[in-house]
Amino acid sequence: MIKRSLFFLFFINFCFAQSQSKEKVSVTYLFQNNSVANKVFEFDASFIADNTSSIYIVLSNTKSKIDENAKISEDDDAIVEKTIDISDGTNVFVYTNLLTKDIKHRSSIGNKSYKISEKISNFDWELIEEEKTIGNIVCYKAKTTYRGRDYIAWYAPSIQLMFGPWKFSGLPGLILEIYDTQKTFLWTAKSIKYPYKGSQELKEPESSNLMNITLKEFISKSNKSREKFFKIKKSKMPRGHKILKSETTRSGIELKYEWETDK
Amino acid sequence: MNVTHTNTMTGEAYTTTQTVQLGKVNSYSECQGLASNYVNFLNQVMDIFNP
Repeated sequence: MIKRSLFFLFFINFCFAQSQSKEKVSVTYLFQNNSVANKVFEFDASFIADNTSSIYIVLSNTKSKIDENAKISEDDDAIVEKTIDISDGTNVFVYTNLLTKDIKHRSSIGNKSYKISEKISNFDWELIEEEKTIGNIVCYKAKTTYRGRDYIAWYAPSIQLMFGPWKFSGLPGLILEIYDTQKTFLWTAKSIKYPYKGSQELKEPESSNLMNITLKEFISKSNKSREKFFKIKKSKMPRGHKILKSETTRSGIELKYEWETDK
Repeated sequence: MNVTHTNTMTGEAYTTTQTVQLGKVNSYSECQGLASNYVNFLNQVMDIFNP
């Protein structure tokens, strides 16, 4: 009798796991980028996930492209400011595969586009007993630190998929809202379809025109490209101009990388 | 001078801060003139080459 009960339990469990594995979710996130002073850049990002992989696509929005000349700061007339948007206006994707533990994402340097590879990070989430409702879905709070920023996430245990927007993963439920504590970068679910029965495929995007590269190689290339830019600028500076000090800092989502913090 | 290279879609951003000596001046208006010339120079360089 015990054997039969155990077999029944195992069978129910197996059936549940099989049905779960086929379930997909589709989410539209609002991605807000407040990293440039006095400006907010907003993008819609489509997201599909099942229990093994997810695809997050930021949809290009030409209205958000920065196109302005250098100017003397309104706050301090000794500072000249210039912001250059280096996005190439093409959709950006982040594909995450839990089976291979790989993340593949797209970015560009100048007119070259890359498919960048890295391993899924081991997010050290702290689960907090605090809840709120997003739409009609009960979400719980969690905290983590990732590549130099502290994050607050709200995840939904009722959607048992361990993913979130961008590169976030590892919580016991889908992340519906996440932001860094400075609120410089925010992702908020605008609409959720679960289970998702639509025809949109969940697969790594076609990328035959992209150059394959590791994240570390990409960061190195990006640094070299900026160094080249400032060398050209220096070589063209009018006579009498002199650079007394020069320093570059990261101000994007990722402020520092594992291989740098190990130094 | 602050130059920020940002990819608004991916969230990558780098800010380079340079202290640049433009020349010696005798008045605030001369200083403003130099700064204005520097802004024009910066815009021309940006038009030629963008990383």
